[in-house]
Amino acid sequence: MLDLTTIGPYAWLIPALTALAFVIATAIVIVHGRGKWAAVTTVTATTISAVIAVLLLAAALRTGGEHLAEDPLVYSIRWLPMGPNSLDFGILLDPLSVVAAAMVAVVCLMIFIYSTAYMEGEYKAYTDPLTGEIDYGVGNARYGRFFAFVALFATGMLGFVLASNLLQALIFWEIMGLCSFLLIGFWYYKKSASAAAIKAFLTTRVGDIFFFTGIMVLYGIFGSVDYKVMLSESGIETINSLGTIPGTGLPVSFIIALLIFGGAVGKSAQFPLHVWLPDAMEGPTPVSALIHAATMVSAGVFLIARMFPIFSAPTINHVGDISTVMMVVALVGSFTAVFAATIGVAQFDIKRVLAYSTISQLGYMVMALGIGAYVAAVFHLIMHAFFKALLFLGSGSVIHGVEHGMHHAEEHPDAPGSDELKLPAPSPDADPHDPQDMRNMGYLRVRMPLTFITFLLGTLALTGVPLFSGFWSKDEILAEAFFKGFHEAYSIAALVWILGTIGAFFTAFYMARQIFMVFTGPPQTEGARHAPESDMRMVGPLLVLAFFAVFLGYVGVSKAIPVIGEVINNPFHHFTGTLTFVEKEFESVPFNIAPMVASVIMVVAGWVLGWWLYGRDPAKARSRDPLLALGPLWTLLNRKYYIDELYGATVIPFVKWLARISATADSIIVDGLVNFTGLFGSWFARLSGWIDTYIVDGIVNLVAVVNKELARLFQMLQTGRVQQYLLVVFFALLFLVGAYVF
Amino acid sequence: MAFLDSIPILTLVTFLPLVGMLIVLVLRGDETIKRFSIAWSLIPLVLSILLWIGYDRPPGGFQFEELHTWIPSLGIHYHLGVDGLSVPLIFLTTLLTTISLWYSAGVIKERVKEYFALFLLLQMGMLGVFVSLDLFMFYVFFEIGLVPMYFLIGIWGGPRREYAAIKFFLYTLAGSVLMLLSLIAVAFQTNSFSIVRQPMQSAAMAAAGLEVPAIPFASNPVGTAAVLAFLGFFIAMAIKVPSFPFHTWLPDAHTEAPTAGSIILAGVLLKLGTYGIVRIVLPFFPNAFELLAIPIAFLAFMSIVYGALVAMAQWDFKKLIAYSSVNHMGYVMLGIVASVVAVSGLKGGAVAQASAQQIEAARLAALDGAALQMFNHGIITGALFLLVGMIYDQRTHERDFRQLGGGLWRTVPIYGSFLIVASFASLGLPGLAGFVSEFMVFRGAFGVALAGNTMFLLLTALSVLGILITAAFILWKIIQMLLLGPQNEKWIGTPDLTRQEIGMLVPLTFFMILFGVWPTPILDLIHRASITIIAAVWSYLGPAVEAMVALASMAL
Repeated sequence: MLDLTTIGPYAWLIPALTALAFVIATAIVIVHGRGKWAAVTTVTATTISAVIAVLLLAAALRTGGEHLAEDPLVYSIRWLPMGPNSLDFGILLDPLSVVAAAMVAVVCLMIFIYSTAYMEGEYKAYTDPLTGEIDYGVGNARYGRFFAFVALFATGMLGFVLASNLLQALIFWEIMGLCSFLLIGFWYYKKSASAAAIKAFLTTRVGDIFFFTGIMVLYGIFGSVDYKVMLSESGIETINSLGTIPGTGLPVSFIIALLIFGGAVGKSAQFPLHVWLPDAMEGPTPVSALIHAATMVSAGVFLIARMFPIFSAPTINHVGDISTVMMVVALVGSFTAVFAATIGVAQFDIKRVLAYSTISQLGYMVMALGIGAYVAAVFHLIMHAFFKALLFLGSGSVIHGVEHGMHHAEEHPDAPGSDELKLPAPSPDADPHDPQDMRNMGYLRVRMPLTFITFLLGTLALTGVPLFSGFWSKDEILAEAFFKGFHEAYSIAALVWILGTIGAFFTAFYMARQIFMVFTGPPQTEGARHAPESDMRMVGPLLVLAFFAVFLGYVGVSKAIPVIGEVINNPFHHFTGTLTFVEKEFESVPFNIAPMVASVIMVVAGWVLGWWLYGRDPAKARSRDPLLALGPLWTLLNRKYYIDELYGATVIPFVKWLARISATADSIIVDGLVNFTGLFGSWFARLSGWIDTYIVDGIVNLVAVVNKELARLFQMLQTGRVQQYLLVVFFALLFLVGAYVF
Repeated sequence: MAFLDSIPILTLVTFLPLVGMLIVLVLRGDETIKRFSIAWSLIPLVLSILLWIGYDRPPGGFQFEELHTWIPSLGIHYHLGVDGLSVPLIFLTTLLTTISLWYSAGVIKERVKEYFALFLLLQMGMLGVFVSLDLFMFYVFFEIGLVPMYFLIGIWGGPRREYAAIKFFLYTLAGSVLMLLSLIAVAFQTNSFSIVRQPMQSAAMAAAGLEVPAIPFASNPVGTAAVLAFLGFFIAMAIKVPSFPFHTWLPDAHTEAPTAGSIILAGVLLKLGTYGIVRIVLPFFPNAFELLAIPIAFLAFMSIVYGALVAMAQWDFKKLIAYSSVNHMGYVMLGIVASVVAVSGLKGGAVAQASAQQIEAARLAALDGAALQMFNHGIITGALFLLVGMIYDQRTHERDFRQLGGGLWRTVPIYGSFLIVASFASLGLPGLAGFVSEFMVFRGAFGVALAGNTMFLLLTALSVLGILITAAFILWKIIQMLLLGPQNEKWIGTPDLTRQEIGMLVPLTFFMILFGVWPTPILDLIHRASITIIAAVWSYLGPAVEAMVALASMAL
């Protein structure tokens, strides 16, 4: 039963079911406005998708990764007739897609279940912004709309990871872009939300046009967009046989890979296109979890992993070696990892800290791919999806709780808390009504214990505390970087290792800061004091995700790790360690204690410093952040290195200016020429008219005038007197005779 | 469908609107006229659907032909016929006409009889262009369309209608004069007015014992005379498209035209230009076209990028859509150029894999994409102009984005939803029609360029920027400034779309989604024509004949 060839043909159901859920949910919303049923549809469909995806993974594990990579299953139907090669829609089942699909489906399911409770506020307390009345009808429809959109979002990601060709990947990639737009802008009547939605769509689209061009170039080279064609050994040979780009000495694969990477930079929010992701939290929190963990940003990293043979085309026979383009990838990734982590240190919004953490962690994955640590990157992608989903959902639970606490405090201003706590002085800079500001929190360890524990487990995983999942994955990246940097003497890998290890310190520090500010000490506001623990529909998914955040890492424990490594034998590496189609296998690096010790020291240092600054007296730290002592450096970090301002002062005005200049040129020069021609025409016509009147017609008139004058002259002769005529005759005769005689 | 062959269906499709116009002239009562016109326009619509269904995919070629001698002394024939290129455009014309008439019934209150009569005359002109297989007829129909459009803009237009109408009329007429000269040159040079040229075939001509004439200037295809004749045709068409730098009549005409006029103008009249290029310029002058391919590609690039930039700077909703048409029609031009531009790859250039067959496949994709883009632009921009009209004519009497302000999605949710779909289709979102054609155009253009034409590669790569700029202005201006954000209090209480209005938008939206998700029904029609045209063009141009033979014989 559990055989890949038996389940494989049904793999298309995974995205198809969520797509169907989208259609049905939309129909329900339009026809009935029953949000509940839309939610039920989406959750049901995603559950079935997740079951199929997990069964698929189980079957694939039985088949074995190496076997599957050599002989992946492709099921396709013809979509678009295009000359000799039609374009297909297909499902590709290989280790990478199967693992990713299972992760996406499971994490999405958790998020959706959670959302059924989280989004209830949408109709329970939906107030019409005009009348101020609670409007259940509109709210109910909006609740449904949310589930329609998220179903489409899941479809986008599932279709993307399972795609059998690049065009299909692009289509689902763009669908995700659309969904992120729709969901970030879910509260589109808020100015900030609509601006964030536009920003997300446009910024990622900057990357998309590189991706698009890359696809076009590959299509031009192969006459096909099938992964099977371009990623096979002969496909890579073809690319390698194209020689170099004139004048640079770089292979053609360099530019292709760079174009593809451009897409990944946009989608995975790498520097310099990272700016959209922190703003994306304008959407409802489950959407943040969706974007930051299961879908969207993972797509960029997945794309690099999928196209990895092209990135390493020049070194394909020693897969894992670092080609020139991979150095660029590694550089961007490692820079982003540290850059974003430092910003995360100086944020107050609970979700914003996590947002920068996502950018930073994506940087780890990207840099891992850049140094050829393919398995480690994919491993970290999967681990990160679980613990980041957990953290975002946990932060949603916190926000929800604090918000309720605030409402509660407003409704019952005199009700004492169950505790005898006295509220400390509120933070002078924080808006006391902002349920997302960490300075308004504290005490939630007591008020929301399950949320606290799960959030803490997620944090331990993220910061890479030994034995938690993030430790195994991040450590593998750093171990490979160390090995390549110091044993194989790739200076880029050495740099990656240094930056990655520094990043580990900042990660531990900003997460420790968050934990202490949010959960410990006395409540800073009434909201925190009265915050209730969330519904089981929310806590349940947190528990499931926490389980994964703690234990999932053991599937990828390197064989080289002493004691347990031998026992576990790294099934993850065995499963995903072979590149599909080209059939190249990655070696695992030998164990080295040095990088592990270094990163553990960094993690511990980060936690200790976090505790020192924030954990000893959280209330004081909340009312005045100890890091404010950094002065201008703090401001720089707090303002995110002014990147947004920089773009706002350069790129955006430049484009607007260019548009204005073009429009002016269009009306003055291009249209001006036309109007000038018109004017010239009418001037010429008037000139012709003048000529016609005074010259052409003038000549005619002249003739007439001359005739007339002559006539008058002759008229004078015509007197009618016979005597005069005779006289004339006589003189004429005389003249003729005279002329004749002489 | 056998019965289609037994009736002169193309004559009916073309001249029924004329009959309708005559009937309108004798009818009394505005309501009667409106109802009659709408009902009457359904007949050509149904016939065009029958054409679509009845056109036999294999074998392709010209079908439903009608051939009669018209002016024997000049060799002018009454020759009608359609292929995979014209059938979708005929359908587009009849569909948009019905929708336009339906819309106009609600907004036109003055001089109703003249309006509807002129509109039906306009429809005849447009349909005539798409069915003509004789240059003389083509020219006549090409010109007939001008007159009613002139009056539609000049009488029922906006405040600057007279300026716009005259500009539109004179500008296109100037092009037509050039075309007329070239047309006469071609006719005298080859002694034939036929649009069907070697190696294309026409069953009706064969049956009538007429020989299919050779292309003009076959003996010296890049001589001065040939290039001049080519330019005459090309400029006439480029003005109609309109391609940069001949585009400035368009924004004025659009801004001033009544809504239905804009729909037809953008939806159909612009296609007369690109249709003319594919139907006449390309097969008649393949060598001259190849010679000037790079300059033309530059015009296409400018239309795409510059058109999008200018659109971005507009504050008038209608003008923005008008300029976006310049951008979108630029893709059509790019696709057409890609089908003829020369490459060095076949002579052992850079791309080893680029066999002749692959290059031809790319050319086919480009031309398919261009033809599909014509149809897609028609429905998408048609819908957008309709939406502009609905908000401007019927509700706010305001088209300035700054005045309309934000929050319309909340004020008028149904309207907002339709606008969102049309906007995303316009910016080329996958899953909607615009993406498929843009993708195919770029796939073809890149495929050809990579086979060895650096200049064309550069222009194509830069044209990709157009996609980004289009996305930017549509999101920024239409979606953000109009639909999202806090509601503009001024428009609160504005009524949402009526059932009738929804009825007008649904068919257009339906096709945006259908051909975005499943383009095969239209593509295999278009593909038939592209194969024939590419095969004809390349039988003059290149070493790729063998590859083409293989392609042409290939069943779809």
